[in-house]
Amino acid sequence: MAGQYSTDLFRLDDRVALVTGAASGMGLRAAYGLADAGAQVVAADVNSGGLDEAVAAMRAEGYRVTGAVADISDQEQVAQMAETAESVSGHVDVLVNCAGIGARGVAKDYPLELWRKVIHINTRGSFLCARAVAPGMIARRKGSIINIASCAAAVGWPGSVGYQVSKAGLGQMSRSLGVEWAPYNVRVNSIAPGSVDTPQNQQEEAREPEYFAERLRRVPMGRRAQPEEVVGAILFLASDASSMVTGNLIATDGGYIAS
Amino acid sequence: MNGRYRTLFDFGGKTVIVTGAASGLGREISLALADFGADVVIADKNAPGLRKVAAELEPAAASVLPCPTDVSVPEQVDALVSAALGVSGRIDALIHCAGIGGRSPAVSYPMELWDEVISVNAGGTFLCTQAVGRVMLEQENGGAIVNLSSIGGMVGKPGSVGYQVSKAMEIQIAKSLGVEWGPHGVRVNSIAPGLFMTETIRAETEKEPDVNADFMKMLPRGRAGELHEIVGAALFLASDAGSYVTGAVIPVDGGALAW
Repeated sequence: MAGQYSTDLFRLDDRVALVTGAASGMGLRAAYGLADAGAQVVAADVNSGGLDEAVAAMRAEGYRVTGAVADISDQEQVAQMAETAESVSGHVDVLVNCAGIGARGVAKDYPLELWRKVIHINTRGSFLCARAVAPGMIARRKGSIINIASCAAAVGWPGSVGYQVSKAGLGQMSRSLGVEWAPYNVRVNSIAPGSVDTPQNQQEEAREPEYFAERLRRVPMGRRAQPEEVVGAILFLASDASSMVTGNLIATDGGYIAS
Repeated sequence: MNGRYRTLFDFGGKTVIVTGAASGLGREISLALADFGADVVIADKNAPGLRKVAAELEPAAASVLPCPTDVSVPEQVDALVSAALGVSGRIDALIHCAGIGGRSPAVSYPMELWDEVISVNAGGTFLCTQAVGRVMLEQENGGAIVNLSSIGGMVGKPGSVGYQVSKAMEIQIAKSLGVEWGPHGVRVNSIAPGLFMTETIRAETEKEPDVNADFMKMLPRGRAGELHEIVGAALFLASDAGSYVTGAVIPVDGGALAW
């Protein structure tokens, strides 16, 4: 049986992967990673300027990538985005739900508008995206949906209750849909990154350095993840390497949850 | 020191709010609190049902105050807290049981149902927790908040994605705020019931006999829980017996999760 396993196990040739939040940070790294594995990538983001730049940069490097501007909190725009992705070659095999926002605030004064907004975008938006590509995946008996959740799907910390609740919802959505769509070979999983060095986090850290230093102190590996360090988990879950993995949450957090 | 543990579960002189108190688990927990000597403030959307339960509690409870409340409406939650403060000037515990179901396959899950179940279950839990938390953070000796989620917020089952996501959010509220308010003596925990023979579940089972059949097979005890079997966990977490427990989830599920 020597040679039964090759690195091809993680290849995504002939697959189409739709990535939301792809203009920057983890979403952009995911787009590069999926493309490197051979997938045709449909990169979606609400930030059209940033998306144009990202798509142009990827194309300049020879990658096959299509851009789709979409606000995932808007059902019609999500439907349009899924249509664009389907039109690339008639099927969407992988969805990476990476689009999302942060929302810090102490719970006692947490504005209900912020509570509604972060759940609307992070949880509801991701559900809309999953549902937009699921009918095709179910019909073809093949698909992998990956939700970028957070350690907040498993543990709590002070100062961002709405964000954490939205990500816990996303983690649960992966379990629910993973079980519900398992009979159709559509797998749904989530990834729980810890503190990641994204532009979004860098901005927040500049505003609240002490808070982020304290968070970092609790990470056993003692450093933040680089955005590309989430890519391995994405390629594992997107490819046939994880064909028996569904409804699961994989932590890429430097040991944060385990501690 | 003899006898110091005899009053561990005592609720004499304590004011406790129970939401969703007109029926099912909320009613049962209210009956128990009355027996344990609490001043019980009961809330429910169903005003006539609430009056009936108030009459049931009268003989045992130190006092009973029924407050018809829709927990998803901020003004009504504020009014509930004001009324509760009228009893003794403090709120020692909140046991939040109010919630709704939301069954439908994910591919056709109506977004109106998704929005409603998340607004009532997760939004309602947050509104009540935030409003009561504001009082507890300011008062001496803090307080205890217990929300009733579901093991459906920890594992996936087919056919009720929105409900399950809302319950995962409730669990995360306990974790986030347990951590955020821990330093201030306000404990926040969650009970995750498995299948209990509430009137809702009984009606559901009569309508669709197979709806819980798979669930039943998962139960090591081989039976659904009787209503009185929820009481112990609620009294433990809401009383001084749970003084070092916060941000925790206790499944009361007949072993379903462990199996």
